Amino acid sequence: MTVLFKPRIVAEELRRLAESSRHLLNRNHHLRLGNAAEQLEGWFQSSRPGDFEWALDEPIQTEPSTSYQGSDNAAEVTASFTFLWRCERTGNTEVAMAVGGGTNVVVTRTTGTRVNNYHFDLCAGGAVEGSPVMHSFSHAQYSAGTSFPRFPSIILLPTDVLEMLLFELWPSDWPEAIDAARNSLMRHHLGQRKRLVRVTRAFQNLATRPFPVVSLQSRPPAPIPLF
Amino acid sequence: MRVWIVDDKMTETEARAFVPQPHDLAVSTHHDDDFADRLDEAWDLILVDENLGEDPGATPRIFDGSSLVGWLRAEARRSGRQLPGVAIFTTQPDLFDKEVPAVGPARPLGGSFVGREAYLAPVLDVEWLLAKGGDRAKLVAQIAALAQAHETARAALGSNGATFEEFMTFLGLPADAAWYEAARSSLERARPPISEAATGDDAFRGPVSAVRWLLQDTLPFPGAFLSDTHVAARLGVTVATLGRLVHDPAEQWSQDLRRCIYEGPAAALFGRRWWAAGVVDASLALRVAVRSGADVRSALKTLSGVEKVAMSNDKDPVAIVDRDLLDSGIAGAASCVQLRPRGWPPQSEEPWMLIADAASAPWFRHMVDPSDQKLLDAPAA
Repeated sequence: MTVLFKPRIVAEELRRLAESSRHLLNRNHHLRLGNAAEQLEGWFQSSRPGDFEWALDEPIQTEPSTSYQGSDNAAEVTASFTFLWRCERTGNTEVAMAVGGGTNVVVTRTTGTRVNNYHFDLCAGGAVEGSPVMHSFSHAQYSAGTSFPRFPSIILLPTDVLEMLLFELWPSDWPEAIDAARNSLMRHHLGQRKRLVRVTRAFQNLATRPFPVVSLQSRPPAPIPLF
Repeated sequence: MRVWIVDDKMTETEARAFVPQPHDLAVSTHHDDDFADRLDEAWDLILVDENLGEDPGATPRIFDGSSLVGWLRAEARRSGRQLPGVAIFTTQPDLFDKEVPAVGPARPLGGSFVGREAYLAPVLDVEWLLAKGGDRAKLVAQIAALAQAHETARAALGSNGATFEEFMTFLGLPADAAWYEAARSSLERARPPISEAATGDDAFRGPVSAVRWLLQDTLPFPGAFLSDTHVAARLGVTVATLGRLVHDPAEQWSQDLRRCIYEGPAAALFGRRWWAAGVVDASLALRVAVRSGADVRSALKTLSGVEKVAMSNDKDPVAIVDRDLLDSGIAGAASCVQLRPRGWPPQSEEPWMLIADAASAPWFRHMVDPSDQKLLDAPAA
C-alpha cells in the first residue's frame, strides 16, 4: 500500500507545528523538526535520483506533563517521538509517495521508568510475506509481549501523530496553543481533515467487503492521496 | 558601469582611486552648473559625500549628503526620474551614531556604521553606506559591486516590471544545480519585489527595488542565503573546517558544496554567502551517509576527501549574533535563546543569542521568544 502526499506542504506544516509547539517540547528540539522539514523538501526538490528515508536525525523529547489525565496531579511523564518514512518520487513534480514507515512514541516517567511504547505503522497491508498473517495498511500498536493487537488507525502522517501526542499530554495547553497560532496552523488543520477523511474512506471501502473485520487487514486497491 | 560622485572636495584624479578605468566616472558638487545635466544621465551608482562642509542655516537647504539624498528623492518623485542606487560615501563612519537603525533595539547606533550598513541604510533612505577609510582594494570592490548590482538589475529586469524568472536571472541562480527547484522555493519565500506586468510606467524605483531587497532584506539575514557560521552550524563543523571543505575540493560532494557559494550581485558587500538550498542538499547527502552507519566526522571525510575535519563540540549547534545583531560564531542551542528583533525580516530565520548577552539589557530581554524567557534568570547550568 502506498500513500501519496505533497512534500512541500507536509514540510511547511511540520515547520509551523514545530514553531507552535516549541514551548511544549524539550528546549531546541523544535529545531530537529525544522531540520526534518528542510530535508524532506530538499530531497524532493533536488534533481538527484533516488528514494529517501525521511526521518528525524534524533528523537525529540517533550517537556514533562502532569496534565494528561485532565488534572495536574498525574505522575509526571515525558514522551520521546521519532519517525521514519520511506519515500519515493512519482511522475508528478508536486507529489511523492510513501511506501512504508513508522512513527514511534515512548512515554517515560521522570523517574526514568518507561511506561508506554507505541507506534503507528504504514505498510503494504494484506498478507505478510505469504503467511496467513495480515496487517492493516495503517495501524497502531503497542510494543508489548506480542505483536498484536494492531488497531487500524486513521492517523498516519507523523505530523498528525505528533499533534495527537501533544493533545494527549496537554489537553488544555495544546488547544490554547492552536488558538494562539490559528492562522499559522490553518492549512495544517485543513490538510489534516482531508487526510483523515481519505484514510477513513479507504477503511470504509474495505469494510464494505465480506468479512469486514478481516477485510480491514486487506491491501487497498489504489494508493491513497493524503492531500 | 557608470558612477557619479557628489563630493565637495574630491578631484576626479582622487576619485579614480575608487572607480578605476575603464568605468565611467563623474565628480561634482551640488553647486556645479552642470548638476541638472548630470542628473539626466544614466548612472549605476551615485555616491554622496556626507560632509559637504556647509552649515544647516536657518532655512531648509542642502548642507550634507543625507539632505542631498532627500532632495534627489523628492526631485525624482516630481520628475518621474528613476534614480540608480544611492550610497553615502564618507570619511566619518560615526557621523550617524545618533541614528536609530531599522533593525534591532530602538537605540542609537552609538558608533560606526561599518558592518551595520544594512540596518542603517533604510533609515537614511539610501541603498548603502561606504566608509572611505580602511582597506582600499576592498572599498573599490564594494563600489564596483554596488554599481554592477544596479547594472545587472537593469539588464535582467528591464523596464516593464520584474518577473520572478527575471529575478532568477538577476541573482545568477545556476539552472543546472541539483537544488535549483529548492532555491526557487526559498526565493519565493524571500518575498522579492515582483512587479510583473506593470502597466504604463515602471515602478517608481525601478531596478533599484531589486537591489535594495537584496542589500537590505535578503543577503544580511539567514534565509535564502546563509553566512559561513550558519552553514558551518548546519553541517556541524567549525567555520575553519568549512573553509577547508571547499578550499580545493577533490570530491564531488565538496565541488557541489563549493557551487553553493553565492557569487551574484552585491556578493562583495558581505562576508561569504551561500545558497541555502544548496547547503540543504549537501547536508542531506551527509545525513544519508550517517543513517547508513557512519559517524558524521568520517562521513564528512569520505564525502569531502578532507582529512582535517573539526566538528563543532556543541549539541544542536546554532549560529549566534552579538549585541549588534551581527554574526558572532556558533554555540549550542542550550546556551542560547532565540530573538525576535524589531525590523528583522519575517521571512528570515530568527537569530540566536547567548543567554548572557540576552539577559544583559532590557531591550534584548523583550525580544526573546516567550518560550525562552524563563531562561534569562535561570542559574547557569
